[in-house]
Amino acid sequence: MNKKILIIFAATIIALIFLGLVAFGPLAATRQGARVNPVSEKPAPAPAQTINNQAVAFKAFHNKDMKENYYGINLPADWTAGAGQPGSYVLNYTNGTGKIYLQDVADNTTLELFILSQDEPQIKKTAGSYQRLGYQKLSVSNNQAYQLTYQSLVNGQTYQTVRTYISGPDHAGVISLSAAQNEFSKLQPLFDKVINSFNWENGK
Amino acid sequence: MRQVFLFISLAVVGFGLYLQYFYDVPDSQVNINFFVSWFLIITGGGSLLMNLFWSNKRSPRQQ
Repeated sequence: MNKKILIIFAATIIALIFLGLVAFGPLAATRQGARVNPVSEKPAPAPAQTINNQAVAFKAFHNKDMKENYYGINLPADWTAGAGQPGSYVLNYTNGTGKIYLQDVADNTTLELFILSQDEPQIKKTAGSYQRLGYQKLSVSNNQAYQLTYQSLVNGQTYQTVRTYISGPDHAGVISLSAAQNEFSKLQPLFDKVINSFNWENGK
Repeated sequence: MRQVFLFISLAVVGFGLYLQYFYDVPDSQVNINFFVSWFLIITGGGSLLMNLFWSNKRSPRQQ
């Protein structure tokens, strides 16, 4: 047999062994997965907005945790935003909580089908006394989006949640904002400003 | 025969490159996709090189 062939064959076998080590073996730790980018945790000043005749200070977050899924969002300055999983924020504010995260939607489904056939049934399972209040299609920063509004019972108190799914180039962006039901109407204009400030920042 | 082998090698490399760069991988399958795509690229690339360097000399008995 040709000597060159033997060398190529041996090199292929060595490369496969190395691949096995990098994929599953002791070298797997050297491969970096998505992780919270320090830039994502540093808000930048954003222009104040007038809501119910009151000036509300905002701060801009630019999330660069996951390749192809960079996004920006403006949050009220008095909200607490903590980093969760890569690409997500856990929000805390008076009378409510929220979450912003990236949702992987498989190629063999659509965002709307995913919401109605997978995500909403999952919410029904986990949230107590789930009741859908509304579902609509909308546009957020020129991206197709779907908004699900529902109420549920948490620790004996009724909460209303508005969950907005924004289609993106790879993952979808999801903004879930909850508030005690009696406070929801007061917070809704603020929620709308937050939702409409979402925009994809890939390539920026 | 050699052309068939060459075609199969190219198809394997092509499929590996597709999985690596164009396939939308679900978050839970990133690791397995990494392994399978590089496995196909390496084996396909190796067989492609073996094919290209394969000697065309015929054995004296065949001549």
